[in-house]
Amino acid sequence: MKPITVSQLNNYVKKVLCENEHLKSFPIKGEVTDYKRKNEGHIYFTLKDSETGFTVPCAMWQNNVTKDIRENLKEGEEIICDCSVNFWADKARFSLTIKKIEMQNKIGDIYKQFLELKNKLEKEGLFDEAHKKSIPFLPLHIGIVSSVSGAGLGDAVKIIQANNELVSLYLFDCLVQGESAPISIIKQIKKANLDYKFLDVLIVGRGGGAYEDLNCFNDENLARAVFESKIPIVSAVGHERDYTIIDFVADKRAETPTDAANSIVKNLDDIRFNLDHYLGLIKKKLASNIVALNDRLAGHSKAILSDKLKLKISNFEHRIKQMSPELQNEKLQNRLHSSNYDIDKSHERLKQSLNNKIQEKENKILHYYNVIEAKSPESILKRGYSYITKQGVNVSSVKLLKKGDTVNTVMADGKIDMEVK
Amino acid sequence: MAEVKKEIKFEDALRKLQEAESKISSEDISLEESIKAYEEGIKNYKICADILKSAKQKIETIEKSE
Repeated sequence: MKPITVSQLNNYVKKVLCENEHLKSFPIKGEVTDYKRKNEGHIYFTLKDSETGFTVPCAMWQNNVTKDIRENLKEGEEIICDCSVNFWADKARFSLTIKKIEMQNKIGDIYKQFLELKNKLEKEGLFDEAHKKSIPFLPLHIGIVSSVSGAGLGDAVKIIQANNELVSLYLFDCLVQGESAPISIIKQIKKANLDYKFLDVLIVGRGGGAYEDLNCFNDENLARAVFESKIPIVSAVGHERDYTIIDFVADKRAETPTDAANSIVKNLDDIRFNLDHYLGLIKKKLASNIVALNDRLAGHSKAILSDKLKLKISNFEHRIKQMSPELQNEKLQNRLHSSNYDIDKSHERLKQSLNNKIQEKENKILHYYNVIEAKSPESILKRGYSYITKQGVNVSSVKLLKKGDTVNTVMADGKIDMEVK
Repeated sequence: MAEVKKEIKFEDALRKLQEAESKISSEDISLEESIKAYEEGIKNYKICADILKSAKQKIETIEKSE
């Protein structure tokens, strides 16, 4: 075998290591030792397995070093990093390039700050139910404050469009991770309140992620912006178990953007069905009330009032007869006669006015009966329309039918079974 | 930009339609009240139907400001 050069060997090893899919991006945990920060901002340390003492050199380039890491990473820290393997061919040196660091005790700190802020805002009353605005029953203009490139937003948009094709969506693009995220979100909430006052509701959030990634929703200024929003806000940050500060301030909390979309956008078909249901009930009830009241009115006109008057007249006659004979003179007879005449006249007038009232009501009844009749299924069928039922259930969409289904078609003069082709 | 016309909300009209329905279904309602409830119901049904008819879907993206 022909000897190879050191360069050939080192380049070959570099190729093997750096092109290995398993070593391109993976998480690793260990303890930080030999930590150094260079002037350019890059950081170097050695990651140690505290059980075996094995070590690996690590480098994190300046563009990945966050303020948090710069201020808080120190010797002895237990960390989890996202990294890839690198091999320096010139000195056959192997190292890790670190892209992201999660500090174990830092998560504890974040939680502590979260609790402190939560207590403070709770005491100020920002979470009080009294301040919660109600979410409209049928929001037709919905704003979503999130990252337009995020997966969480895409799913929510799809659900809203599927549930209700009448909803207009306003996507307020913003950062949802990192130090600048709170300001970016606040700006968009304020913009919505200023330039898009007509919005029925604003969904603010992002899809799930590591707890640290969701931390931008634990920002005090953001919490206050959510509180001050005139547009009702639904928070939708991460997953079920992840609560952030804005979840407590928002008018409603959803677990995820998908959940928010499902809970606030009602299905349009259901809404239309409800409307028609109530209209049908009202028409049916009016018709039956008219019939019932018509019967009662007819009864009144024949009997009650004239009976009362007759009774009065006979009582009067009886009282006259009871009087002493000397008082039954001609004058009195005349007066009695004229009184009887008056009573008859007033009885006639009463009957007339009652008849007028009945006539008036009958006209109204006839009018509404005609309105109802014109919309009744029978009269619609008579005009040449038909409707289809499948196993006794009305079919309102072709989506409910498939080839081979037997349906029953109802026309004005009968029913007929048909097969879908 | 969408119209800022929000005088009558869908949910208010729907609520009035439901109220008209329960009114017209009550035991001791007079004919006058029956007709009034019917008219109120029809009026609010039309408001709801018009809101649904006039709504049109659109998607607008508001860029993030730097």
